[in-house]
Amino acid sequence: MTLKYSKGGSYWSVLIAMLLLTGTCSILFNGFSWMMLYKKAAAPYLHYNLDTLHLFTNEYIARQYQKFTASSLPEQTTLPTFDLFVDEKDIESLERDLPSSAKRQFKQSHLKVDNPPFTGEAQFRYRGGLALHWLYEKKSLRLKLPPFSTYRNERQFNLVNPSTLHTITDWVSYDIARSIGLLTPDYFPARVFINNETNGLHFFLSKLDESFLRKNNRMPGSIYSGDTVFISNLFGSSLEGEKVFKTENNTSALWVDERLWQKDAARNAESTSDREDIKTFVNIINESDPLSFMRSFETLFDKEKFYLFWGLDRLVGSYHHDYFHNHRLYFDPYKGKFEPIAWDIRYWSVQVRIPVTPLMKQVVLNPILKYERDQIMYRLWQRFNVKHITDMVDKADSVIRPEFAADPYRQQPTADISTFILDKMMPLSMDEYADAINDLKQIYNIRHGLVGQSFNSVFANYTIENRTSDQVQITLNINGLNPIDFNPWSIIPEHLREDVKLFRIYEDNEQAVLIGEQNERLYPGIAVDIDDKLSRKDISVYGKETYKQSPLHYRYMIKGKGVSELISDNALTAKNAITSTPVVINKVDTLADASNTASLHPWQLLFDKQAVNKDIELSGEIIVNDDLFFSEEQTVTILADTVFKLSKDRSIFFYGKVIAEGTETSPIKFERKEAEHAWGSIVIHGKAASNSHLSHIHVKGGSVARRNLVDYPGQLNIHDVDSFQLEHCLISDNTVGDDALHVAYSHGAIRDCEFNNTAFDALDMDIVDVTVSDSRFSNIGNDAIDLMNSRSVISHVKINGTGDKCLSIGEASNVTVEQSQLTDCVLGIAVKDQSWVHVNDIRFSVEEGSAIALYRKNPRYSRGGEIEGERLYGITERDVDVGDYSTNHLKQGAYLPLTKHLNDAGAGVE
Amino acid sequence: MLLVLRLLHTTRIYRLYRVITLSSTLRAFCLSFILVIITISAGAASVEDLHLNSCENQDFENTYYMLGSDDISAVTDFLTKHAILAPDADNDFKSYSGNREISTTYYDYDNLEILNKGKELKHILDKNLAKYRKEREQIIYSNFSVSPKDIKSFEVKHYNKTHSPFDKHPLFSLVKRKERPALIHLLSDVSQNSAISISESLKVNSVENVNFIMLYDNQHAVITLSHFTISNFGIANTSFLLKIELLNNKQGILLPKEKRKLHTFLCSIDNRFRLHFPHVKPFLKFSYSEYYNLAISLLPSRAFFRDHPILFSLGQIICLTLIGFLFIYLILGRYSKRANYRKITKQ
Repeated sequence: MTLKYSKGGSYWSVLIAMLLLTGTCSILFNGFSWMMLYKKAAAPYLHYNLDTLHLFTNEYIARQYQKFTASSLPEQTTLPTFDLFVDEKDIESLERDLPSSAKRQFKQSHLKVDNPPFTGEAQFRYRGGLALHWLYEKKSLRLKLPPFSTYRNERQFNLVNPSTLHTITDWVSYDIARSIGLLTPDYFPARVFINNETNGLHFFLSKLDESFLRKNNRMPGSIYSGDTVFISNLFGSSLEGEKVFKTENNTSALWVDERLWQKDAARNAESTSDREDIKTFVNIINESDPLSFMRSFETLFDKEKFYLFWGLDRLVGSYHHDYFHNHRLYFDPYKGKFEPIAWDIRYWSVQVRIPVTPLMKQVVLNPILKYERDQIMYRLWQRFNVKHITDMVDKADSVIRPEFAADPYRQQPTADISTFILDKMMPLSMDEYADAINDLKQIYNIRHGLVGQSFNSVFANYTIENRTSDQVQITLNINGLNPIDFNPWSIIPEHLREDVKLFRIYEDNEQAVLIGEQNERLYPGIAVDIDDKLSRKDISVYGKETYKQSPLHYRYMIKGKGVSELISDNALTAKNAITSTPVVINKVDTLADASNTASLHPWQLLFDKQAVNKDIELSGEIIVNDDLFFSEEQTVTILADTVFKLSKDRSIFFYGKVIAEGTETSPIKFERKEAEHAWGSIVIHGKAASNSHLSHIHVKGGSVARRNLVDYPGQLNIHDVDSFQLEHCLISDNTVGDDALHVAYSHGAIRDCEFNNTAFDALDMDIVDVTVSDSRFSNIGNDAIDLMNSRSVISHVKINGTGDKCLSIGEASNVTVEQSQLTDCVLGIAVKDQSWVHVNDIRFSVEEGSAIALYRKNPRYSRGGEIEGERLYGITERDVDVGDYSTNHLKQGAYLPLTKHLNDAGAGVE
Repeated sequence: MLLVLRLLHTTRIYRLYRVITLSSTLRAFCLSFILVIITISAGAASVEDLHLNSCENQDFENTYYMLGSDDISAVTDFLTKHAILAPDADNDFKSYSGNREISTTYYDYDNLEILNKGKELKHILDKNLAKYRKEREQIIYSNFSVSPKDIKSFEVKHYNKTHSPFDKHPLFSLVKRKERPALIHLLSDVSQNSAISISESLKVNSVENVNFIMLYDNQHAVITLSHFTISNFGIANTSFLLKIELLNNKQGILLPKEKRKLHTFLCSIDNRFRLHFPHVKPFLKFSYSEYYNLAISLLPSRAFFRDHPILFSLGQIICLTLIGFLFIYLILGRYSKRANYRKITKQ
C-alpha cells in the first residue's frame, strides 16, 4: 500500500516528519518531567535552565538506549533470585511523595526466593539516604518478614542498589572484613524481579539488628548507629531529610553527644531506652587524661577488633567511616566490650589522608596503642597482598559481569559536582564498568605500595652530653611512623657494662635499667595541627585537625667513674619494631625539636606503673567487706579450706587465671558473712582467665553483680573464658538473680557438681561449648539447665524437682543428652527455636504428656525444635508434644517402659 | 541624653519636634515630655528585666491563655519577637515554626465519667501530615488527676475487615487490635460501664501557628497560637488560645544545663506575655474539662443535646424542613406574583 497525495507525490515524508516531531517532543517531555521530579525529590537547589534540561534529556535518552541494548539474563546463574509481587497501587503510593513516602511506610508483598528456597508474605519499602536508592527505576529495598518467618535466619534485610562505579567494592570489602573476624553483615549479589520484570542486579545486605547478632553467635545487645539523623518535617512531608548536627567548630557533634547515636538493637525490651553504654563510650572518647583513656580503652573496647576495622580502611584507602557518618557499634553485654561492625566499606582510594575520628585520635596520640594498631595493620598488609586482592576482585567481577550486562539500570555517580551537590547517577556502559574494575585493581596496587612504604618510616638519632666526668647523658630522638626495638645497654661497650649504672630519665625522675634487660621499645610521636584551609565539606569528613610525624625524645644517663671518657660516639643499631629490619641510629649534634609533639610519652606509663604481684595465694578465712578485684595479669591460687565470708552485695572479680583446688574434706567456701544478707557474685571473666580450675568449692548465698557495664546474673559467673574446669562443686541457696551458675562465651567442663535450692535457673549457659557430667540438681526454682545458642554434651545428670523445665534447650543450640534421669519436672525437655537435641538412655519420671516439647517461641527463628535418639524410659509417644515447624525423629522403638530401664541398669548401663 | 537626642535627630520625630518647638519655652516643655516618655520606657524595660531575672532557677509549668480576638494581632507580633530560641554556646536548641490543622475528638461515657474523674481520652488528627506518617493520628489517654506526665498513647491503625463489635466503634476501630485490651483496662478504672459505650463527646478543630523547640530530632517544648472551633452539638464557636507547653516525655534526655535553659526561656516568654497582656487570664491546664466548660458556656443547650442526640437530629430535620418550605414558599410567591402580573397584563 502506498500513501499518495493528489498529484502523485508520497505522504511518507510528512509521516516521518510527524513521527520525528512526536519522538522529539516525547523525549523533551520525559527529560523535562525527569528534571522536575529530580528537583522536587532530591535537589531543590537545582535551577531550571537549558543546560540542565539538556543534561536530563541526555540522561533520559542514554537510559532508554541502555534498556534496549541490555543483553538477556544468563540462563545459568549462581545468584539467588528474589521475586517480589506487589500491588502497583502500593508502588505508586511509595513514589507519590519522595523521599518521605518511600521510606516511611511498608507495603505488603509476596516474596519468592529460589536459593535457599523461601516463599511467603513480606512487607517492603525503599531504603537508603541518597537518591540513587529510591528515585531511579532501580530501587534499594528493605524487606520485613512476619514473626517466625526468616530468610537466612533474618527477619529484615535489604536488597541494595550498588552505589559506586566499581560496583563490587562493598562485596570484596565485606568478604575481607568477615575473613579477619569483624562482625560483618551478609552481602552478596542477587537478581531482583518486581512483578516479573527485572529490577537489575542488587546486593543482599543484612539489617543490623538482634537477628544479625544471633546469627553471628553473639548475645543480643546494644547496636548503635552513628550517622546522619533523619529529621521529619513536623508540618508536612516535604523538606524532610538527613541532617548532620555540628559543634561550634563545625565538626560533627556525634563524638561529643551520645544522643546522636541511634539505638538500633537492645539486649531486651526493658533496655531499649537504656543508654548507659553509649554514654560511657562518648565519655571515654572525650577523656582528657590519656592514661585514663588507655585504661578504659583496654577494659571496655575490643581493641583488636577496632584495630582490624581501622586497618581495613587504611589498607584499601576508604575514607567512608568519617567524622560524621557510617559508624556502627555493638556493645556485648556479656563480654562487656564495644566492638565495631563492618559497614559501608567503600570508595577505595590512593589518597593518603584517612579520617581520624576523635576515638582514633586518642589511640594515635598514645604511642603504645598506635603501635598495637600498626602491628595489626602490618599483618593485614602482609596477608592481603596485591595478588590476593586482585584475585578477589577478579572472582567477584567474573560472577557479576554477565548479570550486570543484562541489567538495564546500570548506573554510576556523575562527576558533575558543579551542578549537583550530591552524587547524581548516570547510566554506566559495560566498557566503563570494565575500565572501573581495572582501575580498582590499580588503586589497590598503588595503595598497597603506599601502605608498605609507611612501615619503613623510621628515623632515629642521638646526642651525647657529658654532664660530669662521671655522668653522660644520651638522648635518643625517634621520629617517623614506627617504633624501634633498642637495647639501651648497647650504648655502653660490653666490657664496661658491669662497672657502670644506666638510668632512664623522664622529667625529673630516674629509673635504673637492669643489666638483664634487653630490648625496649622506643616510639615516635605525633603532632596535631589545625588546618584552616579546609573547606566546610572537608571539615565535616576529616575534622579540623591534621596529624604529622613528630619526634619523641628518650634520655638515658650513664653513671660510672670516668665514664665520659669511655663512651664513644659510634652509630647505634636497633630494629624496626614492625618489620624487624635494622635501623641505624647516628649521632648528631642537636636533636629535632619535640615541643610540638602531642603524643603521650610512653615512659610516663613506665614511671607511673605500680608493682603488681602477679602470683597471689589466698588461704584461711577471708572477710570480704569491699569488692575484690584481681587483674588480668594476676594468677590467683586459692588453697583448700579457704573460706570467703562476703558482706552484703560484695563480689569478687577474677580477670586472670584462678586455681581454686579444695579437697573433699577441706572445700573452698564462698558464703555469707551475715546470714540474712546475700552477697553479690563470684566472677571469672576474660580470656586471661582461661584454664582456670575450680574443684571442691561450695558457693552459697550469693546473688548478682554489675561491673563495667556487665550484668552478672548468677552467684557464680564464668564469662568469655577458654577452657575452664569446674569439679566437685556445690552451688546452692542463691537469692535474687536469674541463675545460680551462669556461663557465657566459654569452653569448658562441669563435672560432679551439685545444684540445689536455687532461686531460679540452676545452670544457665549462653553461647558456650561446655560438657556437663555426673551432676545432680534438686529443688530448682525454675529450669535446671537452660541453654541458648550452645553446643553441649550433658551426661549422667540427675535432676529432681524443678519449678519449670529439667532441660530448656533453645535458640539454635545443638545438644546431646545421655544416661540421665529427669524426675519431677513441670516439663522434661523443651527443644525450641531451631535447636537440635540427640537423646540416649534417659529416664523420665514426669507427669503424663509433659516429657518432651518441641516448639517455636522466639519470633526470630522460623523453625521449632528437632529431636532424635533412642532409649527413652518411662514415656510413650503421647508424652512428646510436637509443635508447628518442629520435628520428632524418635522412632517408635525409642520409647521403653521404666521397668526395662531397671533391667538395663542392672546390666550395668548406669 | 545627648545620645538619645542624637538618635532622635535622624528620625521624623525630631523634625516634627523642630517644627513645633519654635519658642524656647515650648522647646523646654517638649524636652521634658520626651524625658518623661524615656523614663517610663526605661522603667518598663527594667520591670521586664526584673521579670526575666526572676526566671533563673524557676521550674516552668505549662501555661495557657484564652485570648480575645482584639489581642490576636498583638500576640502574633509578640510571638514573632520573643518565641524563637536561638542556639548558643550552652545549648543546641532550635526553633521550627509552621502551621498545622488539628482535629481533636474527645470521647466519654454518656454520664461523662472520664471528664468527672479529671481524665481525657482523645483522638488527634493532624491534617497536614500524609497518611503514612505515624504522627498523623494519635489516640491519647491522659490522667490529669495523677500527673501531667501520666500519658498513654495508642497506635492508630485502620482495618479493612471487621472481626468484632470494637471494629465498628468510632474510637476502638482506630486502635491497634493488640493495644485495645490495655485501653479497655485503663477505662475500667474510670467506669463500670462497658468500654464500648463510650462515644464522641466533644470535637475541637483548630488551626495552629506552632513553634517547636527541638534538640536534634526531639521536640521538647511547643508554643502554639491556636484558633479553635468547638463544632459538634451546636453552632460552631471560635476562640483563640495561646499554649506554652513543655513536652514532658523527652525531658529525661536533656542535660541539666539544657533543661535549665529551656525552663528559663519558657518562663521568660510567659513573664513577658503577662507584662504585655496583663488583662489575659492564665490557666495552668487547658484540656478536656476546660474545652467542655467553654462549650457549655458558649452553648448551654449542648449538654442536653448530647444526652438526647435524637432530639438534636430531630431539631435539625425540622429546621432544615422549615428552611426548605420557606424556600419553596418564596419561589412560589415570586411565581404567583409573576402569574398575577401576567393576568393583569392580559387584562
